[in-house]
Amino acid sequence: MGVYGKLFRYVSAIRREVALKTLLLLVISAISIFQAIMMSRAVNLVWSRSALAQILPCIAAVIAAILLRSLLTRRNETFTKTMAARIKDTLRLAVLDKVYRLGPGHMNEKRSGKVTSLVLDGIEALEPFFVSFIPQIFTVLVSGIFIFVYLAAFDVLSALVLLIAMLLCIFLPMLTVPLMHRSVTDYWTEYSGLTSQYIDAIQGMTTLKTLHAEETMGDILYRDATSFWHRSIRNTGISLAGSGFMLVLTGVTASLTVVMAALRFRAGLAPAASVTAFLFLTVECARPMLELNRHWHASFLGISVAKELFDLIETVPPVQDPAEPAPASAGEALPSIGFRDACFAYPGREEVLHNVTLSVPAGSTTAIVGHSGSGKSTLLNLILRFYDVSAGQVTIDGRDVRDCELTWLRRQIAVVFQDTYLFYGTIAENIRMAAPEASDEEVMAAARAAHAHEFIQRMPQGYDTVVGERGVTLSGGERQRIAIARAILKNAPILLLDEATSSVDAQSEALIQQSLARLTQQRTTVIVAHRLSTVRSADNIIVIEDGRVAEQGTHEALLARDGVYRALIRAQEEVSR
Amino acid sequence: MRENHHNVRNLSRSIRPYSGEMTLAIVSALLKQGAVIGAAALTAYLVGLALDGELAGRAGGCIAGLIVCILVRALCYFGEMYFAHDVAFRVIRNFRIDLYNQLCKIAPAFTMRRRTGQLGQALVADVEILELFLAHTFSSFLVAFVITAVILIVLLTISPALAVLMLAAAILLAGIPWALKRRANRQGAEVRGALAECNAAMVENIQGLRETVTLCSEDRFRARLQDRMQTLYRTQQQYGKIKGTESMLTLAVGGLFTAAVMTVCAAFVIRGSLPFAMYPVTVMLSTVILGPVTELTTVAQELGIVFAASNRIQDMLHAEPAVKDTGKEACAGGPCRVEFRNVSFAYSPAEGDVLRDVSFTVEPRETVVLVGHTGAGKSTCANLLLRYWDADSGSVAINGRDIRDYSMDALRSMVAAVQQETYLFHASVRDNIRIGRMDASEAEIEAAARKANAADFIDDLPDGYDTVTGERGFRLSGGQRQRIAIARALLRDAPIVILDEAVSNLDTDNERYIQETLRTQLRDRTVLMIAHRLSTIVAADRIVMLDHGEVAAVGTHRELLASCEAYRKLIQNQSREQS
Repeated sequence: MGVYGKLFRYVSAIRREVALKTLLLLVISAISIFQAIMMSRAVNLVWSRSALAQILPCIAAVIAAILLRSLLTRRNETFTKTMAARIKDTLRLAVLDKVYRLGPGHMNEKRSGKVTSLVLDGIEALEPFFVSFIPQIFTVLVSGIFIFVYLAAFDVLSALVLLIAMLLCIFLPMLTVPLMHRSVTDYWTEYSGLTSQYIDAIQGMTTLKTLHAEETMGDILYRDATSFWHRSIRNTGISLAGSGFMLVLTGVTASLTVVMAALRFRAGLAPAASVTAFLFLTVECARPMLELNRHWHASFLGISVAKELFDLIETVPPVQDPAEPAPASAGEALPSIGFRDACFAYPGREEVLHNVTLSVPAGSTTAIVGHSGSGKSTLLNLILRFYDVSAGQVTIDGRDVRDCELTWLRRQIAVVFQDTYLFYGTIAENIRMAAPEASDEEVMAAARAAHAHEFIQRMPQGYDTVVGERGVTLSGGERQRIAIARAILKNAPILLLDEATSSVDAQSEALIQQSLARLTQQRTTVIVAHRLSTVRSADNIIVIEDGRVAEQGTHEALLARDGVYRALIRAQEEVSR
Repeated sequence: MRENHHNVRNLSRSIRPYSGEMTLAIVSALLKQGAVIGAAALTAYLVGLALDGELAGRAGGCIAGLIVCILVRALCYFGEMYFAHDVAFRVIRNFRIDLYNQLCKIAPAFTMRRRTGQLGQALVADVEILELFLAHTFSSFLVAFVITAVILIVLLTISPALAVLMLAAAILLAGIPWALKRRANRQGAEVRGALAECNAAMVENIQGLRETVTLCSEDRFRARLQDRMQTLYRTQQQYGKIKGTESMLTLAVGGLFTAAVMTVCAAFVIRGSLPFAMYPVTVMLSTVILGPVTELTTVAQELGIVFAASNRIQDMLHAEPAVKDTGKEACAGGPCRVEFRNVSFAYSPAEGDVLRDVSFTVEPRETVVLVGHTGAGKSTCANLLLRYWDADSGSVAINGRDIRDYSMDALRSMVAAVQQETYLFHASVRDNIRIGRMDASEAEIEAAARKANAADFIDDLPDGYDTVTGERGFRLSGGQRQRIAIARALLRDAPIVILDEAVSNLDTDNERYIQETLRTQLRDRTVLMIAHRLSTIVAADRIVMLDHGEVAAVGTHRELLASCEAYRKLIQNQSREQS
């Protein structure tokens, strides 16, 4: 099904609104036609030199029609906005749900600026298609037929000319679709690209400054903005050519039918009333056509966005909820985690994990060590099901994670990532994300346990301090402690920890270690570890080398083996000496 | 909030460089309106003649005139719109560039407390909205004025009564947007504001998706976003109501004018003071001569939104930069000496001083490391040396000269920095490395990558140096990102280098390698470091210990161990952890 078919499917989501609006437009059209007929009658009465008293009722009718039409126009505009809200809400929710279902694994490949402009500007651009163009089609068809029938009663030939012209007006613009489509799609691509580029520039501004690269980025933006100007004007040119053509067509039609009626009246082939009827009604005929054309052009941007929109909505999530989730194990026992011959490659890249088999017994702490880029963090991504393994399996309590309900799975796990994203809001809100029902005391207790309480207290408004979108006002160590507080508050049986190497000073570091030690006690823990202290206190250490398990065992056992681990440890000691 | 005339003046000024093209647009618009009126008049005149039976002999001329009018109308419509849009798009491009340049001046002080989505909207979507004014309103206004004036003058010679009628109608029509101005402005600002809120929430939703999902907060975030969107829809509906009222009044005034003309002229015809052939003409004309004014009121319906967008843009363009680039001094050559002289600083008065009377020196070719607890003011020192902010009192000096005396350009070329958080741009690895020196050769880029121990993993990437790193460099690990940042800084080759936790995300063998690189590569540079790792601290020439924004001690590692209790404690924690 093409983009148009899919768009029409969404029309059915607002079919009641479309029907109502069409009805409203038809009533307005009927009043306009009535007004035109009354005007032509008045002209005829003047022609026959009737007394003013005879003409006035016609004019009174015209005035009544005008007032009624004005009122309805206002109603129409407000109703249109209500309708727009409904369809935009439907579409946005569809996209948003998809974004959540696609999850971080898929969405991180996309630029946030692109997605944002798709959801906001893109769907905004679809408004004219749904609320103006579609109802106008129905209106034009119905009112066109009515005017044709009415005029045919006066003069069939002229009415036929009018009908043919009307049909031309509807279908000729369709011929320009392929031409327009390319151009507008490119326009949209450049627009959302420009948005992403600006978001990049805003977020990377300090980096640009430290590198003295403001001008470099400025040049890129200048180039992009200039190219966007060229694109915009080319696009407008094409669109205007179409509209100009329509103007000629409607102009010629209106004049042609009136001239024909006039000539045929003179030849005695048509009644006098027909000439004035044509004079006023062709205007009424042309108006909905021009409107239709206007709405068609206004819709075009939206239609070109539609492809990208449906592409996103129809993306099959790389990670799917099972059709029949395996029953979750009841009971309080802590879960175990296992990898069996797990292989994995990020989309479009070489395999990073090869036949990894390992097990994390319930309640134990396992440290994963290895060189940078050896695939340690990938293990965590697989447990979280941001991605699925390409072969083998990941299990929790012996159950394949792919058989578990996603929300259930993620409820079992608390994570602390290397870098922590803080949402715009207060510190309390940011911590409470982990457990929305938590009381202030519980939030504070979690912060205390994460050794975050002290620095939070020092902030101007304490827990009510608003932290910036990117947590700019908090240091890396502080953000990390907020993340730990979140994990404590979430109180999930599994803890995944991607240890930040050292964005914390030694004292806070020691405190964090303490709180982590307490945190790991009643949990099944996997730590991607960088620190000796963490590594040493782990129950089991797994050394990953080039995407494979190279060695595993306790600190002492591994040291005794004189392998990769020992080399790693020696290097670390050397550095700290 | 700015008054509308400020906005109009600002926007009109932005058009000035393109006044030639704008004149073309306006002339086309005038011709177009003339043609519209001409076509209507001719058609109606034909009907009048036909009814009076006087069509013979005049039909040909009328039809020819009609054809000309129709063609001129279409052609001039195209011309008007094309030229006006071209000007609009050029001006929009200029605004975008101006906004970026302004952003360079006011970041990060201005951007720190604002949200990316909101800023992004001002830079892209708000600017785009200006098209409505630049391409449509500006010429409409002039055309409405000129055409109405011309018609009034013509009418005055034909029938003063009609002229008075028309003047009244035109004034009424033009008065509609004016009467609703306050409400429209307020609602417009609300619409744009609500949209910016949605934008910010959406950016956050995408960028924080990992956290949202792992904290099982999808439902709450969806609800929050939906809430924002409902606000947006509500404001849009309210704006729609105002537009509806405007449309209603416009239609009513225009229609009543036609009815009045019909009545008056009918009386004229009956009295015999107007030939009948002119009657259809006057009626027909009454429906089109107000066209230009009606068009103006229609475009004016969008002005609330346009002015709101324009306000947001002007707010940014007129934001006072935290630091002013008034220095003239050129770049100091050779090794540099950095001095902090009694520097005190607060990000905002409410938050209290972050630095108090801080003084220390980094001699040429020396490496000084700043140590201290979180919040001691270490990164703030780096921010001041980079002149993101200026010291409230005291000064930062390079080679004995206040950094405020250097031009910003000179300062930027003297100081390179690797920051705590590495930001990678949506570009190839190559471009990310050379962004600070776009003219660097391939060999230089690779050498820098090698020195940062990044060459190996870059070679392993699917497209090597051409691999595009995600917007947030997500696909690279923290350590890999940091190595790219170090390569960038090495390529910059600046005499002063700031390393703010530059090796914090590296594992030990990478760190060892890079420590070595930094030791050799930065030997003749002046280096200001911020570090927590003992290994890094010990390797520095001198240590400045900061405590709650004040300098607690200065000296070598050995000296401080002997003399400074706070330092000993700081180090003890560190060594206990690593031993």
